Amino acid sequence: MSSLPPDARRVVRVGETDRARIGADVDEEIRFHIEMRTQELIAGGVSAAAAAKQAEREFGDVGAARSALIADDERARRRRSVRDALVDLGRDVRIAGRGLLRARLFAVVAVATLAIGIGANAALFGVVDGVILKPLPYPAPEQLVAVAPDHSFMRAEYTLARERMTTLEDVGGYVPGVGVGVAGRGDPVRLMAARTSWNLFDVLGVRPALGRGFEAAHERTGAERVVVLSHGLWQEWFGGGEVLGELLHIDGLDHVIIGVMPRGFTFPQAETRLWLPLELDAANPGTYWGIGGTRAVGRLRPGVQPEQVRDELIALAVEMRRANPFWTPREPYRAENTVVPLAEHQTGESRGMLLLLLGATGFVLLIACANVANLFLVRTIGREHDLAVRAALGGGRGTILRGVALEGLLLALVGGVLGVLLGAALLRGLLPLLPPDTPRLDAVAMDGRVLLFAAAASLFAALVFSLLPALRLSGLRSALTLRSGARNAGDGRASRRLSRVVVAGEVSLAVVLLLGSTLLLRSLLELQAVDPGFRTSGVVAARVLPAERTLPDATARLGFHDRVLDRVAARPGIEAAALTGQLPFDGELSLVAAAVEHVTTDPNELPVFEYRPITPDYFTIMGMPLLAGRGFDERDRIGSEPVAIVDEAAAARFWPGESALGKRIGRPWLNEWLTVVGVVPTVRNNELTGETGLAFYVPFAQQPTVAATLVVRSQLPIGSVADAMRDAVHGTDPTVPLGRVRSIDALVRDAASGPRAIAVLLSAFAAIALVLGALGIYGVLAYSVQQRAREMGVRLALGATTREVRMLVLRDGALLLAGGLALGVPLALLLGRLLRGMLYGVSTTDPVSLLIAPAVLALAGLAAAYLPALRASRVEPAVTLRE
Amino acid sequence: MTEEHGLELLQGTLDVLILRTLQRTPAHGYGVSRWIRERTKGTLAVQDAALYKALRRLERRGLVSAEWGVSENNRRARYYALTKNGERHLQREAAAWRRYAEAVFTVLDPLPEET
Repeated sequence: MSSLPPDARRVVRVGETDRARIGADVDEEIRFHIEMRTQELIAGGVSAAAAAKQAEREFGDVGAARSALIADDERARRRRSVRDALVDLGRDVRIAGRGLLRARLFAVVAVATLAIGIGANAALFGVVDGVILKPLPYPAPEQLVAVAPDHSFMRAEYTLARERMTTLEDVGGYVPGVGVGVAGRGDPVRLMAARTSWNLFDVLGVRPALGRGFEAAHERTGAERVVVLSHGLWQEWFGGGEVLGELLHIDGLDHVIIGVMPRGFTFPQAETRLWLPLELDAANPGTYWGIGGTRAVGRLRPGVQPEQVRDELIALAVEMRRANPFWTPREPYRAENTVVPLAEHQTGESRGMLLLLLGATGFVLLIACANVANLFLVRTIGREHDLAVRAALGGGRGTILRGVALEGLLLALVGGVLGVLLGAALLRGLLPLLPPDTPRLDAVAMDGRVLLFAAAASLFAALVFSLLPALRLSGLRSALTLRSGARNAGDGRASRRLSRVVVAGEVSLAVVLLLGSTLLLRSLLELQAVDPGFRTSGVVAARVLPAERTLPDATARLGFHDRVLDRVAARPGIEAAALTGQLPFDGELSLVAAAVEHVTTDPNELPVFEYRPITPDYFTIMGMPLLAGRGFDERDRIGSEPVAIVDEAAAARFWPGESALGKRIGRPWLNEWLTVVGVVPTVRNNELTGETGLAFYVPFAQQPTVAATLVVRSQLPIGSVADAMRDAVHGTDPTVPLGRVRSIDALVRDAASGPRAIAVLLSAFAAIALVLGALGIYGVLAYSVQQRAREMGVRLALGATTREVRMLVLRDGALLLAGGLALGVPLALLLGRLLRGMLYGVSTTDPVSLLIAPAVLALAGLAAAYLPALRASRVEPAVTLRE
Repeated sequence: MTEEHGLELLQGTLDVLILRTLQRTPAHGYGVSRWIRERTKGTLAVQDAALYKALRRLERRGLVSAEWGVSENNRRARYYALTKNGERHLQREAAAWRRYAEAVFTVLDPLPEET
């Protein structure tokens, strides 16, 4: 709207600085006013001198008015420039938006690509943030350290450390991952528990939300049996109501519930649902001196160095050796690993895996960016004529660049929003894929931190893919482009080269991911092919969990279990049934330190065995052939000669070159010697990789346990087997619960869940990378064919066969692939080293993988190149030549 | 700030007067000043410094826009014009002033029984 009356003309002044101009303008306005008034007064008959004086008087304080007006105008100018910028921005955004709407296909492909890249990153960052980055939910978490995490403390050793150590304010001990059968509340279930020293909760600085924690007396052998529940278990089983003093039936024994931990507390593992006291009693030397597996967590005193903690532990070890003949420190303490921040230790194995996956999604994002950058470049080249016209008409380079950048930002914004939505869905899908023992999964959420990360990723993406076209445009020579016309967009050759480099880069990143996933998949196959040493098909197992008070002695236990066994075996379809104290791959192992007569009676050299009471048919069911001697049978009863069967590893280690039969192992401190009557193959216990331990088996009839695992061989479906087992147990005693019925196959498969998760996830990301890379190749070639349609037409007109033209394009694609592979394979080899600790049975330079990964990529790439090649060979020479 | 002639302006009055002046036609500051003086036959004392400050204030509120132009005697002058917002504002204010004045008059006018 013009402020000028119809008779006034507009005056535009240029060349002065804004500030000086404002001052001059205000002066001029005031001067004009006073002069006009003076003239008016003179015309009215006032003398010139008096008129000027009156005009000034009427005006008021000129100086004050002047500065006030200048100040006002300057403020107004500042407001205006901000507003103008906003208006300009709004206009440019509208223009960019309209441009994108016109190029709908481009926009949709770009946004979808970005959403995938950003979504994958947001989801994975969500997991990494929750599991690794967020501080532990304990007071002063930075003081908390895992003490010698590689070291498995003997219980006596831990107790001494707790009493003596001064470098740590306090030390808590715990045994993680104790699987227990819990009954008495609905169906009996198997839950993950941890055994903890009485002071562990205090060390962590967490008080029970309800009731109390453990007391020192609870660590005594034969103390009152107590349990502390997790918040979740309390809610689930007791509806958050009265719970203190109630009884919980754990592994056949009644435990009094004395406390409930606060919501979210799951130390030391995500699946920990309840806590039991750790038995630490010097009066029970077998456990006290013989059983390792205790972990220690402490609060570091301020200023203490890791070396000091190590020195103190070593000093303690020397003292231990003097104090007890049965103890021997197995691993030397390492300084660099004596004190590990608890947060780092807790995330342990997940840490490497998650960071690796985050790196992989980073690659996916880079590839997505490269694709969008290329699309962008192609689009910019397509609009070069239009832009050149604009530049020629006075549109500054800045305006045009801003347009490109705004298009990029808009794409990134929409892609980012969609990416977050996609990421939230991915996160939900991702969580079940992660190994169940991944710590702190409860802290994983699509929260503000993840949104911030997604925003940063989007901005980064926008920056990356706006950069190429911007670079390209800043070199735009308007006159040349104008002259050369739209069709043969002048120096498009340089941009084509640029986009080829970008695609080759994409290919190389995709190779890295493909090789990584190939290695991990091959490693997974190797892992799944590992022979655990026993039969895994057609064998089903479940815990039988009677109460200890109903089975007070060995005779009663044996009687009960014998009846259960007979009932199960009598069911149709059940081929064989047996009992064992504990099954491999099924939770806590029963480890005992035992002496070997005439070989390692030296208390400093006591080996640790996996100890398993079994009924006679166990080896048959598990498919473990007797290698020497005899199996257990009717002869082995209470009161008869105590016997044992050792595994091959033990036989080979203690009696190499001679028969193990007739030799004796035992626990002299209990006055117990067992005669070896047989040898069986070594089996894996709980882990598919690493070294296998030593094991010995005893007749269940001689050492019956209260709770035992029922093992059954049958071809029936697992549901029917479960029914048979339940009927047998309940038929014997309707109050006795049966734990979860699982096939051994599933138990063993669970052991590979971690490697499986990482292999599956990395493969998924590699697949995305592969598709995006192929899309990139397709895009570049399709565009190139479109640009060279005339050339193709000429070639065909001059007698080139369609095959030759197709080959021309395919060769182009092959060249791109070769470039990408040449760059990618060395990079993949370099980065493949990161996988070293995660691979089993496959080296990081596995030749098969090195062949497969590039081959898959080459196939996908050539397939992507085939479509444009086909189009090139179908160019109508007459049509293109006429155009 | 005494004036030897005219009434002191009530607060806010100046703004309405300026807007009313500009309703006729866009004008420079001097034009506004002169018109008000002539219309009120010098009854209302408008100090010119205050007038210009008021113009800036109205400009900031978006009731008035300003632009440089050339005056009737061929000099460079800053012209002010009423914006759409200014037009609306003026109508509201004028109506309010009228109601106010009527109310005051009703009180000041002699009652029937007084006559």
